[in-house]
Amino acid sequence: MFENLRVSVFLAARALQRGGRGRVLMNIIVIAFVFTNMIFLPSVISGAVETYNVQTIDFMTSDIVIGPRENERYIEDADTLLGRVNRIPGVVRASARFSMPASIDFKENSVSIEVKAFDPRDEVEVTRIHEYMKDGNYLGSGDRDEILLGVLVTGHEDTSQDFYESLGGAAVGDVVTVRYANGIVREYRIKGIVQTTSYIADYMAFVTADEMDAVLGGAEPNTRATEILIKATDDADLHALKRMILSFGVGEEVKTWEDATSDIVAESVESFNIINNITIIGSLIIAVVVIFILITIKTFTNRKQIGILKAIGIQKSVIINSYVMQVFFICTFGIILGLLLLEGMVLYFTAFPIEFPDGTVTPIVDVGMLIENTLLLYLASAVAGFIPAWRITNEKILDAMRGA
Amino acid sequence: MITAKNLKRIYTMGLVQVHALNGVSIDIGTGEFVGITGASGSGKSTLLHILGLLDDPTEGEIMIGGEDVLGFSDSRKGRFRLRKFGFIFQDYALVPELSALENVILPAIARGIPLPEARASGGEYLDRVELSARRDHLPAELSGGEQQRVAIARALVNNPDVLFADEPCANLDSTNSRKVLDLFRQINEELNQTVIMVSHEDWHREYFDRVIRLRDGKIEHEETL
Repeated sequence: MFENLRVSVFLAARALQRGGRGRVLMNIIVIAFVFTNMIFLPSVISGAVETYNVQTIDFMTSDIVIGPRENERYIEDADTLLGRVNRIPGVVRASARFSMPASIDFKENSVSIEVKAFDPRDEVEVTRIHEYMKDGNYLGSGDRDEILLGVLVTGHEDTSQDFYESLGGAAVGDVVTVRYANGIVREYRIKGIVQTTSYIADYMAFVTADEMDAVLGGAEPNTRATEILIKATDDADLHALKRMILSFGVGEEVKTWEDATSDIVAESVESFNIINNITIIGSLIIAVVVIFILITIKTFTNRKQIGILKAIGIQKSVIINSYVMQVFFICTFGIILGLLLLEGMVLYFTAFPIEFPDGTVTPIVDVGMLIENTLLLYLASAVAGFIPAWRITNEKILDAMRGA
Repeated sequence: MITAKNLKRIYTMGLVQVHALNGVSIDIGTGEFVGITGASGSGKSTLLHILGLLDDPTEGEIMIGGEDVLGFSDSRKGRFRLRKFGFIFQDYALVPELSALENVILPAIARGIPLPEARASGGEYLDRVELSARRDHLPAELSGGEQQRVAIARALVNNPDVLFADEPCANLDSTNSRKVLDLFRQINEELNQTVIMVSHEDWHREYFDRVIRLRDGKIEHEETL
């Protein structure tokens, strides 16, 4: 066994060393590109998913979100619940939001949207919307008659440039008319415009909780909420924290950000995985075809030599292994070169991230994915190298030697 | 040493059957230098290939060293060739990617001889064929005569019982041919190795102990010299 392996290594090494270095180099480059192709798109998709996740936490759900009980529209007595949640270890801050459908009018443009209300003092602790002011200022606690709009809501003066309905280029200081679903109509000055790069966050409108109290018009301040966002400490285990919140007697629906967005994310990830798999299969087919052609040509050209080797008593398995080893050599250096190319591309796109509609994306190369694809490439290459070598070595010695 | 009985080899070419060997029986003893001669198409190379286990007869039996070798599997035939036989072909049949020395030691390392020992032994055989100075040259850098001498060194490196030579001088001039044949004679006498050689040159007879002349796949004439 060891002797056979030794002879295979000997033959493979000499074939690589003296059997056309240019051809070997070309094949290494092809494998490098195949490997890069296998990894790069999935890494961009991983980066896009990561961007989406970060945006979800930063602008939409924070770490944990509490929703109304089943079959209820509102969280009742939200102030008491906020107080209780804020005392739980691992919670940095909780912010109650109350949403009401409305239409916002500016000049001849109108946008139908949910207006969300919050206490800005709480909100700045749980989301990062305040860090993404394009123009103007964030809401202050006592603000009334002022509104914060996403950049996709204000839109462009030329509305044909807008993907969604917009206010046709409303700017900070402009006054918009908001018609709430409860029939109340208010006029607000645009205090600030938010631009986060998340198209969901950028198509939102916010007022203060005090303003919403006035819209609701009750004698007492509104104690209802449609959701409560909770920011956890950096080291918190969100699933453990969720269990702890439930153990504190919170009967509302408590979800981690992953649970809250699971349907959307799962569907997106599922679609991305399908694209990934197609890319990987496509790349593997290219690798198999290239290696198959390479080894077929090589073994066909070397038919006589294979016949000679068999004639002098070299075992078939030794000859086949020498070709498979050559393939492994090409694969190994192809993968190393592919890794270098990949590293270069990741560095480039980290410095200059790819612009997606959902934000800027930096490729994320997962080690597990690297190992999996490397093994797949080796396996595919071994099969592609083995088959033509096996076919030629099965020829009769004299036929091979005559090259007939 | 080698006993072959009623060897037949029929090739089917389309609808035509070609009887390359048509019932050849021979006995070759240890240390004999046997020449197989005959006109082109007489079956001499076919006989050599079958005796050397490179091809299977359609019919007949072969005993080598008391073993019925035709019953061996392909893999066992390969091992048998590696340990017992040495081959020299008309077109040298060297591996182009291996140097002269590497070609010579290939059968030795395939037998499991450690590399330093194989290199030493290969060097000795190259010395014997007067090619020590060309040991690191590739076949493409050697003349026809030199390549054939490398092939002889390769055939000898495992100290085989039988040396099969298929028209080894066909591509050589008379000077190089004589060198090769002198070498065979020397090996045959010094090492008592059996040599079976196919030839179509009359003057080669002076080197043979026995000549077997084939015609139309049959032994036409057998002569001890």
